[in-house]
Amino acid sequence: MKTAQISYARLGAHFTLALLLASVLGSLVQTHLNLLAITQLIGAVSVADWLATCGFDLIHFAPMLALIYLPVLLVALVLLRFLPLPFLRNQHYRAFAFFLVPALLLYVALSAINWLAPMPTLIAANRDLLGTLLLMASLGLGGLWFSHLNQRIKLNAALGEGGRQDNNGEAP
Amino acid sequence: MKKLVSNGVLLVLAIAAAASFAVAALAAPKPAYTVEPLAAGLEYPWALAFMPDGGFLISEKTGYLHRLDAKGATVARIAAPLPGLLTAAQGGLLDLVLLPDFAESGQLLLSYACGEIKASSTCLARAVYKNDRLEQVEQIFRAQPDRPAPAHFGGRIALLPDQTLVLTLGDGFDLREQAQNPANHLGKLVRLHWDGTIPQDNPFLGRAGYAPETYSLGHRNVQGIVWDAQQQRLLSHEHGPRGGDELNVIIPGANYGWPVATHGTDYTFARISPYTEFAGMQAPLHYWTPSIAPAGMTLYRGDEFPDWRGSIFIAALAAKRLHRLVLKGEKVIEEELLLAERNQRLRDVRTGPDGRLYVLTDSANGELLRLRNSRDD
Repeated sequence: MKTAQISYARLGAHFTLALLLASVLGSLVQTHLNLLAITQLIGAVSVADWLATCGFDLIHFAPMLALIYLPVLLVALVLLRFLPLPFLRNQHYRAFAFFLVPALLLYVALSAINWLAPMPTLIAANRDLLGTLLLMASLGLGGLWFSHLNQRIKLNAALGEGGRQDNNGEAP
Repeated sequence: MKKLVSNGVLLVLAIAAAASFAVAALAAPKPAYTVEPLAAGLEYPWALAFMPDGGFLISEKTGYLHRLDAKGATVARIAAPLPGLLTAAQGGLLDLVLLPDFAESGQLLLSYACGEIKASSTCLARAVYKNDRLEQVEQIFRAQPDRPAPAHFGGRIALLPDQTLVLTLGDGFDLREQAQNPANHLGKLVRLHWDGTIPQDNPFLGRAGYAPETYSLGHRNVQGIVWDAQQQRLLSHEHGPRGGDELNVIIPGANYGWPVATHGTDYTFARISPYTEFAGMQAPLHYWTPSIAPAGMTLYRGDEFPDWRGSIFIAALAAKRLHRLVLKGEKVIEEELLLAERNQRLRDVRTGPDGRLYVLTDSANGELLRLRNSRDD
């Protein structure tokens, strides 16, 4: 089968979209956990305050989070590209790996940041297990989406060039 | 002739300009103070006390007590044998206060970080300083519960006229919501007798679910407190996160809002709370955004600077300045920035018995500075 190539520009666009998705999700995680904590202290936070805080964090916090996520996602994708892992040819394993590797690398990165930073924990959502897992999931979903976008392009290109083929559940 | 007149006019103008410059230079206000570096080589000095002999006793965060004579020369430097002393990150030996009978008894109070890296707290000890040794050391209070990382210990002490003290505490950083939990000491000010026992008129004594030592709650990291004997009020300031440092008048039993009400955001720019004020919570007298990182504080009642009498002085770590605040009632009406030219982190400021101001800088080679009135120059 002829291998479909994806241009660097398209790869960059997919990376940016994946990073954007992960940062928005991470920001929403931070906002919601934070407001849940405030809710437990005062009883309730109005919908308007809740939405305003989401917006504030998307404008002010998400770019900061993107700066943290960017190198982590980049390293994760480079690892996934160059590691000779045969199981990545299987579509389901591949999706799992594109979720898991960025998520695990984020855990390592957050641990390193917290070790280096003057404060014990830089990102408030990272203070407990649930928040840490949700932040990891946000970047994992970014990685997964990157994989999905590239997969679709490759598939479309392959279909266009080589016609429909039965891949038995494996990536073209 | 015409040229002669124009030259004459120019000459007169030049003389007038030179004269006006000279007059302006003479009329320019002289700086109100002169800075004298008294001592250097202090290892992260944290607090300063004035010895009866005119010398100084300084706590160093690294766990040492450093005694200087009146001229600033080192007389002694001893490791403080405090039970469980933890010197790590923001923790170490913190405040020291000489009790009023120190000249006879040598008794003093010391606050410090105690415990282990992963389980630390703020402790208070009473001891006797005699012949440059710390004796009869007794831990009289340990804030509960421990924190998982050595941060936000608070640690300033104010003696009140009724033989009690107020010790400031911090929220432990990662445990900020605990500042609203009345059952523990995180993010609280506590009031104790000088021997560590609990005063019977503490605001929450006997109330179920409240720590009996608590004097006020909802604080982040309080590192400045002073009793204003003239106005009969307790003033404190505290570190906000990114912005939202506060100056407060402390009312017994009041809630100061952290982290529900704050003018700051998180260090990551995330919003901590939608509220800057909240019903039932005390609003600050004054706040700083961006943060100045307020450390020590003194209320000036000395004679050296008559114009500054009644002003509050705050040493700022991040802002690297000494802030002079003028209060009218419960409103800050003027703020002047001093020592900016030195560009040094400032840890503590005290009024000396001579009416001069004494400032500690914060570094591995910390200094003791004395501010005197420049009229004496």
